[in-house]
Amino acid sequence: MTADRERRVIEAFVALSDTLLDDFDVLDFLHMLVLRCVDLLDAATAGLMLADGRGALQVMASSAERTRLLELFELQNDEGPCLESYRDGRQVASDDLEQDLDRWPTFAPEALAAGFRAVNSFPLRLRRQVIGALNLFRTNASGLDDADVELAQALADIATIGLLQERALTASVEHSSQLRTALDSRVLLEQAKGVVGEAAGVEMDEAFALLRGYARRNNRRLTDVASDVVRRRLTIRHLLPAGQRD
Amino acid sequence: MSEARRDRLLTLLHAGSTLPMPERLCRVCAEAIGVDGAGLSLMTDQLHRETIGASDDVAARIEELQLTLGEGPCIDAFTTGQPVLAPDLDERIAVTRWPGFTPGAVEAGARAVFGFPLGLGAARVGALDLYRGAPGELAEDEITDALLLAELATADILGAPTIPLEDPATDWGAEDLRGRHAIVHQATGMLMIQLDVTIEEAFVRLRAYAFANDRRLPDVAADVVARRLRIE
Repeated sequence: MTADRERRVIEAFVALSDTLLDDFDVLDFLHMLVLRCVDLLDAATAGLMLADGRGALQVMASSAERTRLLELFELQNDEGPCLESYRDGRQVASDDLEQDLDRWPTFAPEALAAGFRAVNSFPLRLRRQVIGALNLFRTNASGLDDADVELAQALADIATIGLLQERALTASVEHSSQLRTALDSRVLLEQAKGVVGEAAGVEMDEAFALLRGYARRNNRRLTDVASDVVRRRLTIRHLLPAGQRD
Repeated sequence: MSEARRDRLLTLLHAGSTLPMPERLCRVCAEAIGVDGAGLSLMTDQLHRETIGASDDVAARIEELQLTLGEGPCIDAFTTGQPVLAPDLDERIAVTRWPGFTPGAVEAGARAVFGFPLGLGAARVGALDLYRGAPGELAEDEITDALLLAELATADILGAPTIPLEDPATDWGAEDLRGRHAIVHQATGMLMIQLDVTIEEAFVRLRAYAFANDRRLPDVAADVVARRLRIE
């Protein structure tokens, strides 16, 4: 590992451990984690999916919030590396989706059409269970080297730990309710994106940027900002940076 | 594994009962989860609260206490949007937290109470309460079942009265309300602004439109988000 890359890995882990504090917000944490994945692993896009109570995979975080990209992740509920990774609890890779059209006849063409050529998926493991998967997309036909594979799995493992940091109102740890709360936070964020998208007349990824921008400027949890927006305690006027209002 | 669990609960819910859904659901909770009883209450931010189901007198009393006193696991679950688990009402923390509710619940015959919120993101509609006559925590799989039943209750509440879920032809839970499609929740948020209603009302309207036009919810949502469709 080069000195520069090593420094970035250390920075990533320090930043990640910083988030395990009092004002921990699972949405902020996972968003930062997928951004780190893109940075450290030379991926074009990273997404993290979590299984709900029925075993369906839900997007929990994406390095880019374009609607089409989220749908590409969600498509993997029927077929794709993410699904296999989750279902079988193993790492799944395609160095060149052009060669894997038979393997994933629906997913591969969609991913290629979106500009992605290679994909890697890593299971989110919790004891004997698999609770979701981390998905990396690249635009060139290539594989990950051993060091990258190891790092990606470590980041997936950190995601799992982070998901279990969701505050529980009792002393004991109930994984089901913690994971359910995390999933619900994401639903809340999607609702807020819709509210902002309509109120500001912008696309969903821009809506996400507005929400996140406001949260960061005001040092607030993204989940709380989303809740305030949907409950109308915050309006679009608040979210727009000064200078952009009206 | 998860599908099997959900199917089992749905089978129990459908099993030839003529009781209205809330009552039915409370009884299934008692049967399926290994608690002694359950109660279901609707709540809104405007403090309108109403118990719509209880499996037995103890459950009914637990709901009544909470709604009258404005405190209890069910109230906290609704307010915080997270499950609130009180495995032993004799513990000091329960008495401190709910000084009015706790002695009343114990007197009614409950020693453990578990509250689960009914909601979808920011949309909150009420809470599901489970109780036991003896102290003890809920096991992991019992919590999973409770969360699934809470979801089914939410689905029913956020569909009525426009969608006749009493219709035996309706398959509860077949419609994926929660996670697979972010677009459904985005469309709900957009509708909230377009129609100038609450998020709960927006969701009901979105489902009602899909139902009335015999279309899948994600497809309708995609049209709303792409601005191909405007629901009045």
